[in-house]
Amino acid sequence: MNPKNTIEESFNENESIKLIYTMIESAKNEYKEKGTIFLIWGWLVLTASALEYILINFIKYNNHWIGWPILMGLGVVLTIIYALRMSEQRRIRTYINTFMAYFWTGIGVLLFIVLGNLIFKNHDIAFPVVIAIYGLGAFTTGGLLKIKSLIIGGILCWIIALVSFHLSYSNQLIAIGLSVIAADLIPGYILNKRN
Amino acid sequence: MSISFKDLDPLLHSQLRLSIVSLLVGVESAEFNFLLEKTGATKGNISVQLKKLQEAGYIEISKSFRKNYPLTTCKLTKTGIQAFQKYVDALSTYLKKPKPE
Repeated sequence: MNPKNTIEESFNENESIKLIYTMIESAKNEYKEKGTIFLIWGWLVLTASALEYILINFIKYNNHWIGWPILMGLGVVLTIIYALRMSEQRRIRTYINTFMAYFWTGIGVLLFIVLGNLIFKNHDIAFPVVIAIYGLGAFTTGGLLKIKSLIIGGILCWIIALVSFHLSYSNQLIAIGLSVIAADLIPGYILNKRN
Repeated sequence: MSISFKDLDPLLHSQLRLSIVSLLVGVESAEFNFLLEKTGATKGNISVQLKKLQEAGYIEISKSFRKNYPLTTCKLTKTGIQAFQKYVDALSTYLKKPKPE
């Protein structure tokens, strides 16, 4: 149904319902979540955790944490650039977009507060808590956007978090690597393939 | 058989205006070019209909700039949402009515 040439003309009830349905569906299909942001964070966190694991276990370097501030800082810069580029391309803004922007900013601030303090005061539980919070982010996003792989990724994060409370700091780095594979990289590649 | 015109909001019972409101009902806001593309209407025609919806208080139109180009954004108001709900309710009431053989 194309409303191109009609201004005031009356139409029947079925055409009216069909038009409403078509337009709502058309708006709904405008925005498809891509996996880019999940892949950016997935690869950065995986690299940071692998780097620290190598620095602790093989190189025995004292400042083994050095990769984290650099790579996470890079992640924030890349996220801002990506978000600005997306907002320029986006022709509609949905309530989900607004919720996601606030929710992930909140998760980011929460991770910064928790990690920033626990890493110095109680570093044995820092990564398990971070993995659990990240699981919440993935699970909620997956539920809201109906992305099954993210819901599963979120649940896997919680299981990994539970286990990693009982692991050594060095092995927790493997756990954080596994959690981003489950909640970032796999969903990210699935989303990019789908959309 | 068509719905009795008096039962429906005449402002919404037009294909182009109903298309615009239906596109806006599921989103927070939409750009003019999005509405233009999805409805397939001409710029002049859609501008006229947007103005009518704005005058009725059904939509809000805001103008800004993006990369030095003018950007028009439309958003459904509370009045617009209520009018749309009323229109859809009237349609469903009609569809539920037993039709004469």
